[in-house]
Amino acid sequence: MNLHKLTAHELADKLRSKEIGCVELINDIYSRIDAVEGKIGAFNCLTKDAALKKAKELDDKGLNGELSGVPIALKDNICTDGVKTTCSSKILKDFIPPYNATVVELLQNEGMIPVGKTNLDEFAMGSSTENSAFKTTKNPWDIQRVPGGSSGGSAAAVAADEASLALGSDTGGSIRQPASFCGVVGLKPTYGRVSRYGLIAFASSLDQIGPLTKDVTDAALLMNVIAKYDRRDSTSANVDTPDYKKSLIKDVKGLKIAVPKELMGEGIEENTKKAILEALKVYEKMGATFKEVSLPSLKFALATYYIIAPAEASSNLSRYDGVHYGHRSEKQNDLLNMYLSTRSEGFGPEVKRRIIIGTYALSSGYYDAYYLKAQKVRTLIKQDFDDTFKDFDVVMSPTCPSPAFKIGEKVSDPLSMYLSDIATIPINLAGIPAISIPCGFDNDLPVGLQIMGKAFDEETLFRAAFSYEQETQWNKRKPEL
Amino acid sequence: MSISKDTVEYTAKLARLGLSEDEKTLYAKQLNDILGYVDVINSADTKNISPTASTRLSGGKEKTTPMRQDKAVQFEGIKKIIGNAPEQEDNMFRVPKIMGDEEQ
Repeated sequence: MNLHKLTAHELADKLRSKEIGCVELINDIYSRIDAVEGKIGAFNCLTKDAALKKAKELDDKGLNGELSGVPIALKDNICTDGVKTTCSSKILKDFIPPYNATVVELLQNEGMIPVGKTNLDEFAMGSSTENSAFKTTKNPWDIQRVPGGSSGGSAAAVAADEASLALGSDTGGSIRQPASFCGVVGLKPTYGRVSRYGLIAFASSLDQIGPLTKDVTDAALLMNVIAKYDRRDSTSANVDTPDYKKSLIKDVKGLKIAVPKELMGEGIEENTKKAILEALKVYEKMGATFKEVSLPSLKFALATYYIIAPAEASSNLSRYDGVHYGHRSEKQNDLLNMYLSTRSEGFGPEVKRRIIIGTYALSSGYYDAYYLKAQKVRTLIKQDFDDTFKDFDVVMSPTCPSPAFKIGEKVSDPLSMYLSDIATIPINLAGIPAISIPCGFDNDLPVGLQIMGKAFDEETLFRAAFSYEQETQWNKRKPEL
Repeated sequence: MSISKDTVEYTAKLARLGLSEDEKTLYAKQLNDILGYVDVINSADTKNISPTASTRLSGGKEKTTPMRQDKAVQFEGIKKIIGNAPEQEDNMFRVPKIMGDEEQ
């Protein structure tokens, strides 16, 4: 039986009715991994022994929560007690976290089974996994192309049926962009909705953990597991979590959709634009209305992000000093040189570049011109979204300006790589939730529709996304491997 | 504004990041490109606009950062923490000598 092809909720049903067992399922997933991982390279490490042990325990003692027994992949910047967590960086190559991230605890309480840790751009900085210190993950739709990033390993693992679902993290599009490139569903929840305790920090005012899944239902079910207040994350919101399953209804009658012209114009490829316009027509057919609007501050979003994110990163990454954990250079005669050579040897080119940009933007004489100015522009961006949501329920755009690009295509030109995040970055700056769902193909490469919502209103996103998925079923098409 | 190799070198030192000569040249060029691009924010009118450091500092009482008691809790995995250290001795982190020959 090809269990690996099924969604998490289909598997959960089969496990509950005892049609299949957990050990049988986990064995099936690992034989799929054996068959395709050599081609895809989604994982940094696999945890087969622990997964089988957990599966046997569930078979013997019974299931726990709704997604109990379902295999999940974890991005390798989410701390797992006793299992290496590397951020795909040389500096953390042998780091073994002394504790679990809160989301990992929540998955374990649910009885879900982690199968391995997935590849990413080093410290989640990148859009292709080419910045990984270990390897570049391949896009299951075309292995000459990138899977997107930074959560490229998680997206590719789900698209290639190497895991039923996955967790990623999203600072400027790192869940949604790879979801779009790999033809899966990816949600960046509202900032504060999911605890980041144990997520290795990149840019703390933007980072958020979220699901990558085969359909909208799975994303809602996984959010039911991970969206909980956590006192250990000071930005975690102490709000009730709704049962997201209740949002899985096909009904968008009267839904008001705004389409920012800034995200449908220059830089967006024609075929991508066409797929989005088709999707909007589907919504119209289902009883929703859409209207072009302008969010003028969006033209500043990418520039604002490339000050704020590196500034926060330069501060967060100062902890990698070769003292408490991680790589320490052999070349050392005193403390200062130990720092200089440890960090020089441990970080890759993109991470170094961002540390320098960030340090520069925060340095004396430039703080007001860059960092403070960017924070003020961030306010404008947030205000533009607030204003739009006074008249509209959701905002829609392409997730990415184009489908997946070729490996090596943008690697020597950082700015053109940054531009591939132009539609996803504003959402992190505004702190609102957004989901990417498959909405068609351009020359056999998936295109993603981005749906953005009000802060803490993931329910409307799920309803809008679920309705479209039911109507079109793009998610049913699979890459041939 | 143009970023020189010296500025890159100075900035890298502030960040305690050693760079090769090639890296300094490359980053000077790339930084000029990137900062040239981000200069667009200077055309944004931000008069009387307050900065947003975090979106969780506004948006209604229930949705802002909650307060809690600042209470220390004993961490049980100290051995695991020390076990990650590049060098350790007697449950402590060992570092190279702090007073070096070079300026600090």
